[in-house]
Amino acid sequence: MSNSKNLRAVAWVPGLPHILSPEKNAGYKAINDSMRQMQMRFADRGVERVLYYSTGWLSVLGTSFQSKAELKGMHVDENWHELADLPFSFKVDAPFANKMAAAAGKSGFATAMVDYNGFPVDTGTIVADTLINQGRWRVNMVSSHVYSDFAATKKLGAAMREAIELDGVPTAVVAVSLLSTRYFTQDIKLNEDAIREKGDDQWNRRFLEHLTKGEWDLAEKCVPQFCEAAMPDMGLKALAFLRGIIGSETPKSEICAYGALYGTGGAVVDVRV
Amino acid sequence: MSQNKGQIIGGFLAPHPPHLVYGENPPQNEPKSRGGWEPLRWAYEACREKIREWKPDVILVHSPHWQTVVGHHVTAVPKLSGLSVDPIFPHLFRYNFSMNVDQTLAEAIVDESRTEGITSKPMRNPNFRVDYGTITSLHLLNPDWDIPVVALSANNSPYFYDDRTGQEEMVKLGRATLRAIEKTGRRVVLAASNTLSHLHFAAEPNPMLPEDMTKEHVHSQAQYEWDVKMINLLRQGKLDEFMELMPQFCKEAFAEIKAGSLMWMLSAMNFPKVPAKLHGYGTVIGTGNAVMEWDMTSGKGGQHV
Repeated sequence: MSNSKNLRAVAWVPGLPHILSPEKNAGYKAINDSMRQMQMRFADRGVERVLYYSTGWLSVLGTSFQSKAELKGMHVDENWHELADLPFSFKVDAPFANKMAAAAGKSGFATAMVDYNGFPVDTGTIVADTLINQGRWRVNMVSSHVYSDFAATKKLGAAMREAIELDGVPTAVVAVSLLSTRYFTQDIKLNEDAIREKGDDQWNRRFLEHLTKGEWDLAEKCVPQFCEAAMPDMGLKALAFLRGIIGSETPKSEICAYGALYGTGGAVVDVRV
Repeated sequence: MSQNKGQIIGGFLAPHPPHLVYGENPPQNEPKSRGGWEPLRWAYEACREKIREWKPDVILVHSPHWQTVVGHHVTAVPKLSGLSVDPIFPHLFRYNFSMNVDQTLAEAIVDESRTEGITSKPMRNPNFRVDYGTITSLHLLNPDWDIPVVALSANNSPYFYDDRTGQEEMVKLGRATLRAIEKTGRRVVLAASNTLSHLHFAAEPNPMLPEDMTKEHVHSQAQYEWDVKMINLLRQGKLDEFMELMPQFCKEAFAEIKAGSLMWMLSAMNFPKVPAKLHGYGTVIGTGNAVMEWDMTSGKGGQHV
């Protein structure tokens, strides 16, 4: 059990739209099923709100926080526009967005609130929310600032942990990020999808093993080599954010699913805080 | 296919900072400003005049903000409309767009790209949100939107693989585009939606007044000097030297032409050794932007080998 009263659940999930087409590949189906089941896991832990950190929401001028209370629309992925239209409807906890921004500001981050009709919510957040939340809980979203390095992202995560702790609402934190990102760059048959390089698969598994055992220091230590060898998503900033979220704790994780998504690696990880 | 051989009438280096649309206050854009970045907007006025004079059938634009992993995508639905909000500058750019697409030309580009051996896909989803780079360049060239368009994505091969592989892809895409234009009989204008030097301020200098021109300046002297050097080569028609320096320029000035839009356009125009006309240069949050024109009506285009 986490020593944070309000941090009830932490997860790491992939966010490619293929996951919403489970009929096309058994691996997609396993990931889809695991993400759906995450809702029950969250519910069992008393979660009342989900905070997303997606490497698909990039910001340039500081860190952004979604603060539009009712956010609805239709998204079409810029790469896989033929796969599916992605309708979305979020009930954003706008007051908490302001609290998170204040906490980030206190830690020295430049911040911006995003409160606009038609704002392009990223595919990853929509896919994750479609499967995990399904409209059940309020949500929040924090951007991935492209110029924040690993240390700064970790610090941002720590600021978000503090905001969650002070706010008093039981919260789940979900990092939406791939592992290796060596996509196939040509058309493939989706039922034949596979991790593109054997070495990428090995790195993904080695990394996940560290998470399974609660070896967070070792997971972090292998980041430079992982980045050099297997092009992990945004330099594994998701790990940095989650390390900030879990603080000094070293929880073990359960790998609920792991598989290929157009050559990349995606895992559904339940971090047992 | 058409009996008349199509042609490229001209091309523009047409950078896409959304600030330029914001500064103009067109009815399509929700945020309103007190102006700003006039020298660049005046440069675009000269382009608009040229396009009115040329009366092209289609405007084609290649934008780095429609980034695709699997091949080069081309808009191929008759009409696209909606609200496009810039994810980076949502406070400046929330644009209600509506554009007619030349579907025949788009499909021909996809077919010819495949003939070139590169992966290409038609984008046929009518709910697709067009990116702000495409919209900004097109708006600044033709605010009346009375000319059909075709938008091409920027395949991220220059970043995924390396510069050489990426730019080779863009050369092939350019060749394919030219053949598609010729076969469909269209008279077209091309737009490469690229900024030159692309290092920028990490925070808005004056968040209360984004159009505060007292805060606008080049990001660095080195970046400015790179821009001037590259612009001069284009103005002198020295494309070979430009190409030779391009990798270094991209690396040292973080130039956005790395994304391939300019290479695509130059390739489609057969790497013309004609001087390009500079309509204006200016910075936007520190990035270097040149609005330039290649007039191909002189018939002095180069040859593909």
